[in-house]
Amino acid sequence: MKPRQGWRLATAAAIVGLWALPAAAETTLKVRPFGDLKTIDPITTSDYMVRNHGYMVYDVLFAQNAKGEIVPEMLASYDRSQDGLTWTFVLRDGLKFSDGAPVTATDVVASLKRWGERDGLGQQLMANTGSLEAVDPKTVKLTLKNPWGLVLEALGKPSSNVPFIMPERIAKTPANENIKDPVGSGPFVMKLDEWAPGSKVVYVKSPTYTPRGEAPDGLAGGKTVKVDRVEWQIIPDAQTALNALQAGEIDIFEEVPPDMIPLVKGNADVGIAKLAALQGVMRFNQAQPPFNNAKLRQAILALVDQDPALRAYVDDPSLYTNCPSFYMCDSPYFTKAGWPKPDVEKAKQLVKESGYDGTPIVLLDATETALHPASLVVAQAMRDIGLKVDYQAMDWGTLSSRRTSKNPVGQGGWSIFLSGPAAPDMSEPVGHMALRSNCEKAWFGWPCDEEIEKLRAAFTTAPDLAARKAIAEKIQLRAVETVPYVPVGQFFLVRGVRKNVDGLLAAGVPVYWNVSKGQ
Amino acid sequence: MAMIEAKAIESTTIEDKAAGAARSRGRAGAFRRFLGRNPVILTGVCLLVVFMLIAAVSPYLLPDPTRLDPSQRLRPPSLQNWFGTDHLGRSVLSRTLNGTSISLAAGTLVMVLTTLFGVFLGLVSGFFRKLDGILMRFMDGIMAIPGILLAIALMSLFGSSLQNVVVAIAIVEVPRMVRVVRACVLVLRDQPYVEASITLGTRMPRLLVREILPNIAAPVLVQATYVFAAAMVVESVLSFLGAGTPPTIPSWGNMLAEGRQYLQRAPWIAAFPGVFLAVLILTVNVLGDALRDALDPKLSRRRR
Amino acid sequence: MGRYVVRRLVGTLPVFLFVALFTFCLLRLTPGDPAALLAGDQATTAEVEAMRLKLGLDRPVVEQLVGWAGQLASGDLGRSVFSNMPVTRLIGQRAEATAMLALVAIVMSLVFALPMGVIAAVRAGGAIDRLAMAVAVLGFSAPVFVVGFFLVYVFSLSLGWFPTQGYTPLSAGLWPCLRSLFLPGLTLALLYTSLIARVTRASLLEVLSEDYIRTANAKGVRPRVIVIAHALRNAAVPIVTVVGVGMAALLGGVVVTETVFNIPGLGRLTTDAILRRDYPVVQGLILLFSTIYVFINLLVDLSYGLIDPRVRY
Repeated sequence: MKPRQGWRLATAAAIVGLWALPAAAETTLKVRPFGDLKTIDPITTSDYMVRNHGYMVYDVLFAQNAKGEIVPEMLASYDRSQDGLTWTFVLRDGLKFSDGAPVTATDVVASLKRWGERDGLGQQLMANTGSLEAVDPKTVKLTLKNPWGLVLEALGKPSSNVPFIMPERIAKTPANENIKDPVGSGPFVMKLDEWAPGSKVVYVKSPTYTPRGEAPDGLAGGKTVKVDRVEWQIIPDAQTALNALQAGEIDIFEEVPPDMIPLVKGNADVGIAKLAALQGVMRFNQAQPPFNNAKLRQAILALVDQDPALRAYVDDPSLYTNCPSFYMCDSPYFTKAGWPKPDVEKAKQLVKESGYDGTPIVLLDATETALHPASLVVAQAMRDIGLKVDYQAMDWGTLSSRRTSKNPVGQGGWSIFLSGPAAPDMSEPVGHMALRSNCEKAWFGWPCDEEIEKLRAAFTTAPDLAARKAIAEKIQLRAVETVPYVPVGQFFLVRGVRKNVDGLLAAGVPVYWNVSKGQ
Repeated sequence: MAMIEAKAIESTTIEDKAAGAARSRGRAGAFRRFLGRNPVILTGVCLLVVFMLIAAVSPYLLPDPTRLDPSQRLRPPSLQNWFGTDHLGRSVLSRTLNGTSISLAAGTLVMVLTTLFGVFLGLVSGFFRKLDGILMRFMDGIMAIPGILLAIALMSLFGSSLQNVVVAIAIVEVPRMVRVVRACVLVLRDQPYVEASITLGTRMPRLLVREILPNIAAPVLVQATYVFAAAMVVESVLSFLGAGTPPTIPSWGNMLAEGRQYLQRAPWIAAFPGVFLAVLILTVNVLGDALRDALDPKLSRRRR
Repeated sequence: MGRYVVRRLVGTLPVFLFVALFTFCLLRLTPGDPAALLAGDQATTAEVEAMRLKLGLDRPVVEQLVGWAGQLASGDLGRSVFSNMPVTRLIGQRAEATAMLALVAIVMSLVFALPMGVIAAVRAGGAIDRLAMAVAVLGFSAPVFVVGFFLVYVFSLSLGWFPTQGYTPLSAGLWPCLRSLFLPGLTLALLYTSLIARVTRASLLEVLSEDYIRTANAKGVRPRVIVIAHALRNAAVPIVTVVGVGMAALLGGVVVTETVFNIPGLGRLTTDAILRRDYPVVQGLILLFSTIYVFINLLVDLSYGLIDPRVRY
């Protein structure tokens, strides 16, 4: 090598070195999510981890702001015709997928169609749709067959399944098959090569994403990414995750178990932030005795006292709400109408009237979930009034398949399980997971009630909020009779956050744009 | 194949153990003298008796260990609650003492099952060379799967209950017992007096009862104590991993698993069952060691 | 010796066959199926059925078995039901962490256990012997997760010497990697130290009472030389055996340690897969574990010839 060449190389190396310097100081936000990412397709599954992944890599047409309003996100504007039958959506400028291709109206149409095959609300939208087509590269036109009042609610759906927009080539995957390519037009890009299921998921700031001009607001507004990299570190054991948070090895601990909160608060470097509200759902199997008997279900509704059920899980009163309604307490449709006061004597009376014959009540309890303490409390309460409870402990994996069975309890069937769906799924009658009473098509437990179904249909065409509220109340009044499930109260999930992390958004879904990390 | 036997740790001393046991058998009255000569064994037996007493008495003297009271959760040890309360307001004292019977039951049942099946299969394998090949491949197969993983898989198959924990752990432990017994039998078969009685046409049952069983008793007893201890450890590990006894049963494993999330905030939840479990396992292990030493003529020769 | 190895390898085939069949049946009989889990909390019964159909879980068990055996024969372990990743890739992602953890634990165990066992044997019956054996039994009796938490509390949270959890891969440097494995390695080592120390003591005691040791003693050879040059070599067979057997058991022991310290290794992959009914992953892993077990046994057997010239194959 000639000396002069050496010089040049050295200079080049120095320049490269200087240029590389900021890269070395790149910021990585380390998050312990509440679960593991099982698949990358947010349409084929309603799993919340996959939904959260969706918010990282995809963008949405409409989003819900902190006030619960649905506002445009990918759209520059939209228009609704006088009769409410024709909708026009115009994409904003500069939208690009992470592979560099621009987002076009055909991508939107393909994505919505795929989502419409899977999602409950999406299926209703598609059933009422005459045509959904791309008018030009930026404009999508939706024509309804009949008036249907929930177009915005459906397209701006904040929780599973969210109508995320994917490239057309990916959205053409049949709706019962998982997509394999995580390309989207969202604020982050998933590093597929670094994905180690059960261990780590890595996202980097998308180079092709241009945020909206507005400030971030709930799930809406400008999604400005302020870190270079987000790592989801899967740490199943909560104590281990707490240690890691205290030692600064992770920055955010999603879903800190409530009993660990005092320890988190005791650490000067760590704070807590409320995340999402859940409703504890105690679900009956109405396909089999004993809970095919409405009287017995009413007895349980009268029996369950939300306070002890909640307090067995969390003793900080600011983190739970005794919420005597099928709707979340902060939902516009919340109502106490018709709600019975917890009354053990009345419950006993109703059990007697039901003619309960001692059929064992098989209670499925997934012991690793937040509802496990509540399961134990309700089991004890039911035993105390003379019901025969066959308590069966298992993991969520077993529970989620056991509950699909419609067999009698003696043949692997079940009577009760508890689950904790999030606020967006429990707030209004149409999207409500557990009020739906369309028999075979309903959520596990298969409640069947024509009146509730008629009211739910009426809800979709109600002209304004007042009318909807009235219908929601009627549904509740009917549901305290049919008792499709019993709410065991509402509680908040809390995340532990290192003090050098700033800009966490108050949204029902944990999202990581706008979050910055100091030294 | 011969190498596997040769390397089984037990087999080097098994011959001696068997011989030692042969010498010491038939003297039932010597048991008390035996305990007197072995203070460690005496202490171990006494401690075991204490644990058994606790297990027998606690259900009658203490409040229901499964009774929840959410208004009394996470109370530290006090005069009212000697061991404090757990995260569901249950009495840790009541749970810990009641847990004794569960751990003892799990240990004993696994020990009995393992011994019964292990001895039977070991004898079959040792005497019937044709079955030996198949049987030992089967045992090798089970042993080739890490014990804990096999137990977890079995638990997710059987479902969560105490009986199933016992069966799962027994399945994991049986192959080791089979090996011990088989190795003993192979050595015994070649002993002149056994060969002699076979030649003389002694019937199999009689041969078993008179010559074989008494001679394998010592190594089986020692192995059984280890199985007993191992069963209690595995029970707690399974519970820790969420694949053990149902959480409503106050086993020490469950208490440790639940208490683990409270090690910083309410250490008493895990501490009491932890100490009890450690002491019981320690007792059984020390007892096993002492028995082995006492029944091993080489060591006693050196001592005298 | 070559012929011996071949014979042994052929002899292991039935073991593999048995393990494969056993795991397959075990998993198909297990309640809970991946379809229901995959479909999600809000899925309807019809959606779960559709998922079963797609995963081929509706086919007869025999047909599934034949399909799997065919795959295996071509060296394909299948794909995870959940992430759709090839099982071989999942194993590849995790193997390093487990191998390093096992290595660190074994080295630590030997470093503690051999001196402990030797001293205990040489001073048999003395105070040091009793103390060493008491510590050994204690190490046996303490639950792994309590020990793990205690170590983390002292060395990570209070002193800040080591990370509380996680694994730093070798590619990030040897030292950071070893640092991340120190506490989990120590936790695991405690268990094996007890095991190895006890066997070392026992077999050394046996050898020390042999005639040739007495002869050497009588000839005035220094005691240290006797123990190290003569006795330990002759006591090595049981020690190597227990290290080998321990190595296989270590694979089980890593399950708890990996959970406590959040090390993304094979143990955690297996428990996760079992709890999710991710059949292909569990099958692949158990086959892998039994292969390792069989090969460690073979290596142990072969090592006898190197240690002890009396052993012939």
